[in-house]
Amino acid sequence: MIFNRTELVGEMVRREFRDRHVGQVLGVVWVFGHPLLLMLIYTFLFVYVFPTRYGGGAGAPQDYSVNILAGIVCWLAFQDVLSRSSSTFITHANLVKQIVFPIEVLPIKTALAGAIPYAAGLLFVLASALWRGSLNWMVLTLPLVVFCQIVAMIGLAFLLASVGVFLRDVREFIQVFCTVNLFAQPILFNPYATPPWLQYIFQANPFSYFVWCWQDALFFGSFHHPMAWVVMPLLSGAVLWLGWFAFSKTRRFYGDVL
Amino acid sequence: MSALAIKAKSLSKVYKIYPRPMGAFWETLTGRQTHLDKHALSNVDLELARGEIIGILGRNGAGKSTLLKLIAGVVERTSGELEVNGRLTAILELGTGFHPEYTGRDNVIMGGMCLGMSRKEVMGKMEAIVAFSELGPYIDHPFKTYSTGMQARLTFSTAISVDPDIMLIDEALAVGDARFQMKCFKRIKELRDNKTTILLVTHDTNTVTMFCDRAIILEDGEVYRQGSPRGICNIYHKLLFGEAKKPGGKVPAPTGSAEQGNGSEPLQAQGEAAGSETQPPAAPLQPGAQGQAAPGFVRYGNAVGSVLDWGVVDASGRPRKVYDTGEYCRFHMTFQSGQDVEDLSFGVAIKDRRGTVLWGLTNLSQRMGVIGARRGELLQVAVDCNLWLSEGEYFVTLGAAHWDTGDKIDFLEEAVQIKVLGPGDIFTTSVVNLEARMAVFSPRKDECDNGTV
Repeated sequence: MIFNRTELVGEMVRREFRDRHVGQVLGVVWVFGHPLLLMLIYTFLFVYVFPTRYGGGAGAPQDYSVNILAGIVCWLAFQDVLSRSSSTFITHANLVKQIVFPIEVLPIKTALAGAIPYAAGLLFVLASALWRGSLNWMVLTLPLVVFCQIVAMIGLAFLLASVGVFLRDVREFIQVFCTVNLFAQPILFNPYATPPWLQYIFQANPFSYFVWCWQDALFFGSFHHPMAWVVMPLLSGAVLWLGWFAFSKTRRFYGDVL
Repeated sequence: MSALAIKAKSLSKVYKIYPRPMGAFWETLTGRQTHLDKHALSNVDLELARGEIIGILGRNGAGKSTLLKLIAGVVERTSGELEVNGRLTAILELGTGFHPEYTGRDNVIMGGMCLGMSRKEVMGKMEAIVAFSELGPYIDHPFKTYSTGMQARLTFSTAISVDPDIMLIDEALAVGDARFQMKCFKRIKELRDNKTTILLVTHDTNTVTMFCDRAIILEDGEVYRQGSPRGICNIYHKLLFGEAKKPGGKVPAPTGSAEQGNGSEPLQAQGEAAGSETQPPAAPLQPGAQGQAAPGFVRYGNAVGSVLDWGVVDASGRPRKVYDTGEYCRFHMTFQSGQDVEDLSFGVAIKDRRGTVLWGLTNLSQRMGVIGARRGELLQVAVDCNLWLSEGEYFVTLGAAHWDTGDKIDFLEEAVQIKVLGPGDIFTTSVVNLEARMAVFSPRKDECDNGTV
């Protein structure tokens, strides 16, 4: 059959949101409300409750809540995809095994369904940046950042979904990784007072480059981390390639394993 | 495009069974083989022309579903060649893409899209699907509120609304009541008329005889036999109920042979004959003029006893093959028991060309009770009847079985072929002759037409 994949992805993403919140009173409110709530909690905790011990540099803005918001919206979207995608093919085993179905739409669906709820989060960051006065022409780079991030998310979804079929423990590894990784990125720290050893960790963490671009676009208002702008597009392309490679090499065995 | 829809050459599938969940992982790591090979399918050759409907019969675990999955491409073949020409849709399991919380209509949309239709296409077919499923207003109720039959009807209606070149159906026809099944069959015929190639996996031999152009029996992952549906169904019955003796001799010795060993010597030769395929009985037992074995003749049983002589005779006692409709005839057989048996049951049935049983009886259906026989005893069985069949070729199946277990002792599928000359003034598609006459009465009494048969 000739599948209309775009349409199928669209329908499945829609279905995914309905599936998640079917039978709930607030339903769609949770789709966008949940990430928003998480972002607010992190920002509140790390800006106001645990004020950083390191003093700001000369003339540095003391309020860096937009910096946290920009970083957290980037990471939470990644985290969403990371935690969901390893079980993609397992939960849709009937589609993989029972009918002729273009299974490549499934990881794409997972990635998009993971990204869309953060649209509200993104609007919220934009609003705060506007309010705090850090919004300038750099906001025009945002579409590129979002695009690269979605590409990377799709790549990750393919990679983890393929591995997850064979190694179901991946799910648990990822949960631990996500908890640790939150602190291994330049998100919850004062950007002007990061100790050098932490900087090394950030630089070693591929997720940091996405976070930096987000922060440049919304908080710094300049190419504050020029390296990140080089690394991020390359990284997202590489992840997509790796994910697709893993998927296309393993897809013919799914029917046997599931 | 190639004239063949599906072409498979020495297609094989070996499943690797890992004793531990990490088995595959350790094996790649250490290179030490821990898995067990399970040969689901070995060296299957298959050629399907466009518009052909082929039935695949086989016991559980014979490899039927594996074959469909290989053709569908959801499972990778281990070796062999496979060529599939055309758009393919497979109904390996009903209800894929269906969610209990959503309404029937929502589920049709998603289910249809999962089967490869565009949203627009599904919406265009929606009314037809709903009409076919006969759900009426319930289509907008949640799927979970449906009865099992309603669920099956809706999922099947959705699945069958696709217009593919090749369709694979796995035992999906066993849904709904008889009337719904007729509708499904009608739809399948429609698909066939549109040159859709259909592969049908089923347990039901009647489905095969009614709808398939050809049939295949899979046994232990190999093609056991293929040919015309009627002949194949007889062989399949034999495989199921009789001795499972393979040409390759892979199947363990049938249990019947042990019992036969206990039997009397005169049966030895007969027992051998019963073990082989599609072969007229051994010469000494060939019943003189009665050996009117039809081409589809298949004989099987556990050889506790054997039918020595059988046939059909007319009112004057002469064996005959051609009868007028409604004419008296007698089916008879002579049974010799190889040992003391207490639970005998004899039966005679008539099948049509397709293999569908039209009529039949046993001493149990006749409420005669159970028949016993001593070792070596000869029993004569006779069934008198009037052949109120319409014109056509018919096949008589007869034999002996254990009445309680149903195990066949000596069963002769299509032992005799007879021809009935019909009344000639009824539909040629008629199966029976109801000795009918038609009359039309007009209110004007003088002008009434009265036709007689």
